[in-house]
Amino acid sequence: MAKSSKLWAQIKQAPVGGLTILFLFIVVALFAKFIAPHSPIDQDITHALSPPFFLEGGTWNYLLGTDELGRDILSRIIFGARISLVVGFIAVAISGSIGVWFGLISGYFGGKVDSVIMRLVDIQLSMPYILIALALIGALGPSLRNIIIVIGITSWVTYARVARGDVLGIKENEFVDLAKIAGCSTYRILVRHIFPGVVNSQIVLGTLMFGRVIIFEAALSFLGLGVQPPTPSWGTMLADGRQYLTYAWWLATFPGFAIMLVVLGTNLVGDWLRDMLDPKQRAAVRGKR
Amino acid sequence: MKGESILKVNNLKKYFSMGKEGIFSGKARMVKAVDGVDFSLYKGQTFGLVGESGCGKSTTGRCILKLYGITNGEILFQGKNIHSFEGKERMQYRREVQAVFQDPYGSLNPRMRIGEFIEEPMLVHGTFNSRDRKKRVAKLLGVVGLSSDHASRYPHEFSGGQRQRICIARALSLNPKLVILDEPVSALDVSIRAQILNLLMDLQEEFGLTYLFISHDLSVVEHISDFVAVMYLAKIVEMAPCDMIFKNPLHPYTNALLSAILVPDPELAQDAIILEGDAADPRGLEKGCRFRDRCFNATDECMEKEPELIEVEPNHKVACLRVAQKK
Repeated sequence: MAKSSKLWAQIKQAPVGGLTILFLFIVVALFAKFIAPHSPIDQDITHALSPPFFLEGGTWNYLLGTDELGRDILSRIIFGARISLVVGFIAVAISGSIGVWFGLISGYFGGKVDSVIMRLVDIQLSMPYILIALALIGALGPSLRNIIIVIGITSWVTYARVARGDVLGIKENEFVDLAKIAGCSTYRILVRHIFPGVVNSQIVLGTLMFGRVIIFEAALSFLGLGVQPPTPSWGTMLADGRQYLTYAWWLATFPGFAIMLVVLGTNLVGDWLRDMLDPKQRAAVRGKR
Repeated sequence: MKGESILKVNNLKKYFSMGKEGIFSGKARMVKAVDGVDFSLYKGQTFGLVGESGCGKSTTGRCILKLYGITNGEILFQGKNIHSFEGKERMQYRREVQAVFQDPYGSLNPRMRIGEFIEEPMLVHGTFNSRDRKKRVAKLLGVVGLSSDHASRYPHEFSGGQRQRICIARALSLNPKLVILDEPVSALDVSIRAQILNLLMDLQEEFGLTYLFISHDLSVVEHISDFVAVMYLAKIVEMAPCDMIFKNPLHPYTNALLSAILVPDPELAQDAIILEGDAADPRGLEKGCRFRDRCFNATDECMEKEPELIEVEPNHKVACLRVAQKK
């Protein structure tokens, strides 16, 4: 009884706005084909640069207007959501699973192993992300797959650092010694005893990184290193719209809004998860009632 | 002492490195946590190891549990050096020596159900199949006075005393011969303490267990031990059968410790021996008796000569120059 009401108190604090935004974008990305009024790549030159419906000269046919080639902005944003969310999910999954393992190993074994891994982290953190991305994409060639790889490789360090810090605290617990005494293998100790204590902060970090990854993808696409035209990506749309900003502001503004909304949504959800999964915060929530 | 020796500790030394003395000095700074300790554990008996915090008693226990490597000396389990164990022998040792630790909160993995926690040693050693393991978990929970439907719960639902019972159940799951009890009741309320001690003694009788009971609390040690060793700054200063050490303590440190036990009678005048100062820095002990600075009996000789642990009466060993002179 007490337990369920506690859970309810946490759920009541859920950021309805953030969850709704994320849910909407996921649904839109999944059913892009059925929702989008037009094809994202079909050109209609006669209606090029047509303004959104609420401005003079806008039509209901193109709700958010068209770009310089007469492509429907709304449909491109809808299809672009796929790219952003896919990159976000997969890159976070890759970098998280690389980072958490390095963090576990680094924190648990300590000593030389720890020094080597942490120096690697320091070296990588000392180089600007964009520089590493430029070099890697230059070598691999720009494509959706390579963008995911690059983001995965460049952002594992954050997860590793956070996981290592958690491990340092957890491994001092006597249950880790008891596991050794019981004869557990190192692998089992890491997976069954230490990993479960690390996973909460990794989930929270993942949600917060999700927003950053989407911005990063947009930035790479903006620089022309990301998803290649004509595939719609929010970053590319921003880049293309930039030159028309003075007389057709809707080209860059609407994809910009889309990025902002998704990142805002994930950050709200991330903050909430952090409060919910952190036992200290949870106690504070209980105290308030 | 009678009976079959199960574990023998010979001149055990454990030094911890504290890093280099200075940036340009190659000499490593060492803390001598355990500095030459000898004792034997006999089958079915309880050996109490007493001393103040930081004296090296827990380190000794952890060396026996192979959580630490040792600097010097040897630990023989049934005649074999435990640090030479590899593979199968190592797992065999893990099966026969178990432990219960002080902190009932840190001892349980907060994300593991009680049933899984008790089952884990059996799972790792591949004893029994899944169904028999579950049965044994239920039985063990009964043995330590909990109910078998506690198995599906998480640690946060239990009190300190219950948690310690869970740890004991886990320690027993592999039918060990030796259990290292490292301050198993220090974190518990006085009322719970007696329950756990009695449970431990009942289990010892039932399963023929040997205990190494590490504690700073003499009254608890008196209650449970057959044989007692008092440690001070990494060395044993007095060792004797339990009743002998409590009736006739010889070492001044043991005397001071015993006088600190509270007697539940306010009329009884307490002539507590109050020790001055703190234990000496174990890094600075070059020569002389390690207890000399706090000893009420110390002479100039104690400054120079380090006392050996010698047998002053049958089974009663003391490391004190003045006691040795009197005898």
